[in-house]
Amino acid sequence: MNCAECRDQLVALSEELLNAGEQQQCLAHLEACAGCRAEYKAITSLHQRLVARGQTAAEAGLVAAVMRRVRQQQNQQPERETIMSKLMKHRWGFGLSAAAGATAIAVIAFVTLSPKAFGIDQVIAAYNQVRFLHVKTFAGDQETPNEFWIKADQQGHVEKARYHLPQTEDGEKLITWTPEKAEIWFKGKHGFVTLQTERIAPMMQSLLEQSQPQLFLKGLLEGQKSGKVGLRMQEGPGDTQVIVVTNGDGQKQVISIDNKTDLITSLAFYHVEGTNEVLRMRTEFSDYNVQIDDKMFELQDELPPDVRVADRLHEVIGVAQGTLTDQEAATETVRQFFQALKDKDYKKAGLICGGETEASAREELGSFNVAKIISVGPAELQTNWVDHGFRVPCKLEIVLANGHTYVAQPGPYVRSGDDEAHPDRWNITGGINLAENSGE
Amino acid sequence: LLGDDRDKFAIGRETLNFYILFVAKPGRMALYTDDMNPSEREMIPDWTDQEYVESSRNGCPEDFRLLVQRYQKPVFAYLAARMGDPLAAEEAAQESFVRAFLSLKTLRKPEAFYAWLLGIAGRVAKEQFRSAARRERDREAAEVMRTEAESDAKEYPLEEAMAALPETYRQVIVLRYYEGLSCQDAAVRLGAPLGTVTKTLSRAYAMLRQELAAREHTESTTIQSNQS
Repeated sequence: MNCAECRDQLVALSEELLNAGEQQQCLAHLEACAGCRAEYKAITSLHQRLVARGQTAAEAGLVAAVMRRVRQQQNQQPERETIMSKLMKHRWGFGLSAAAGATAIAVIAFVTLSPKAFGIDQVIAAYNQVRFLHVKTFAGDQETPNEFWIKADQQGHVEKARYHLPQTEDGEKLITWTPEKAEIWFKGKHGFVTLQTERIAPMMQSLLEQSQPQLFLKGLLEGQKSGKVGLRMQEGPGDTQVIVVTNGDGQKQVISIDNKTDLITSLAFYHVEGTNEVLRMRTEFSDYNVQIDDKMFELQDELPPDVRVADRLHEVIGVAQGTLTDQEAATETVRQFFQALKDKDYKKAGLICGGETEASAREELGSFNVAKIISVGPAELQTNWVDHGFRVPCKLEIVLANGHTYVAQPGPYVRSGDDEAHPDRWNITGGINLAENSGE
Repeated sequence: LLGDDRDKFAIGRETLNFYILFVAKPGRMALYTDDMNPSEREMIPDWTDQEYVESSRNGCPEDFRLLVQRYQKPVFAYLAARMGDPLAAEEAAQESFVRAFLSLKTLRKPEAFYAWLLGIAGRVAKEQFRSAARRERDREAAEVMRTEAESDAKEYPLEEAMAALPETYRQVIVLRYYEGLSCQDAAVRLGAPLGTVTKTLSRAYAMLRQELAAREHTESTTIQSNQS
């Protein structure tokens, strides 16, 4: 072994990486060569110094403390550039300042930044608030989407809405809503209800706000401040920008933004399970500010003539609870319903039965003559219902027009709260089957 | 992720105090947590100091974590040697990193991050001596303290000398000694053959010795000229 070969191996020697033969050769050369010996001594000496340095610092763990302070500093200095601040500086970011004073700047920014084919006026309008919107949502692998058409006022509040739900527990439903009146067409059940409700507006408002980048990003900003989400931006397919939001619970959200219009075109929610990502919900936003005809928000003209109609808008439905317990109220409601049928008071029967019109009630139940109410109740609490509700088993003596007499055993379902303005009133929601073999 | 199989995806086992960070770079992405174990970290490709610096100041401040991770031990060892007090050194090291983060925009040569960081650490150490002096209302005592501390531990020039090494060489020294990896483990970590690691170490030693010798020479001539 010559000096050059030996020196090549000195580090390996000091690290004890040589095999027995190599080590022996190397040591033999060192024995004979003072120059290489000195070199080796220098290497081991430095090695020992470095080992000591490493031992000094072995316990040092600064990452968590430093990053905590860094985050605190960042929160104190919101102008510092972060992914979020970059997002905010993007064209659709300024809306966060939200103040009316920002509008002038906004318009100038648009004129210089967005000479878009979409139409400058429409972009500005869409940016400041979406007035018309068409939304499709796909839950999991649902093929036919739920569809929503929304109209908002100048303050960005939902004014009118229409939506189509192809698959619900009640079958296919088509719904329109205004603050004054809601219409629900149970296509599957061939029924139609008009009522006044405040329950639909928040859902529609939430959909509308999801479509608005500045509102949506505000939500992300809050999430990021609380340290709950991670964000990433990347180029998407076509001319789109994609923001990927992830939280620690295996949830992922992918937001697509059209570069031409700066509007959100879709949101997708995924759940990460192991290495798989399962699509939970996809929402597509389209037809931003494409005018929707007011006729779309009224179903009257679309209804088939023979649909069963319930009017909860003009009539007070059901039976008041008064001082009765829930169970007693349920039984009393059903008792009054069958008494009304016995009395041939179809107006009252219809009202107790979810507000069905007199004509509908007569047509549906007129052929059954209730000769005698044998028993009503006791009411059975339905624990699997979302809201409190009861089933009330009954026995009735029925006489048909041809004189045939039998005992029917229906079990109507009863609950309170369907009429938002009169939450103390109980009404029948189904389960009225007066046919001969019912209840068997 | 996103059907892009170039992306790497790693999540720590702890879900409490879970903090996700993205390292966004075309074709590469990783998620980090504070509690990630070493084998999980190995999935994450290493970037150069320059890449981390640029990413930290271009909207991914969480990437700064990787720079802290990389240099926390050399900086701590340096300060412990200069200050002679591990507790004070830890505080000063924290302060140095935070200051570095806050002035990251002023760093003109991102590739020289380590040298720059060490400069900041040196200033923090000096400041702490000064404020100790102020507290004690006795500059002389502080001066004595400083000289004693510095003369007790003459090893801190090692970390300074490391600043002169090209990053690849410094990286091997940090992994081998400050992270305490064996040559084999360092090879795995760097995705390089063992022979490359020992050759790099060998070259790093030579450069370090040269650098240390130059420093000792400067020091001794300064002392001589001061005495004459």
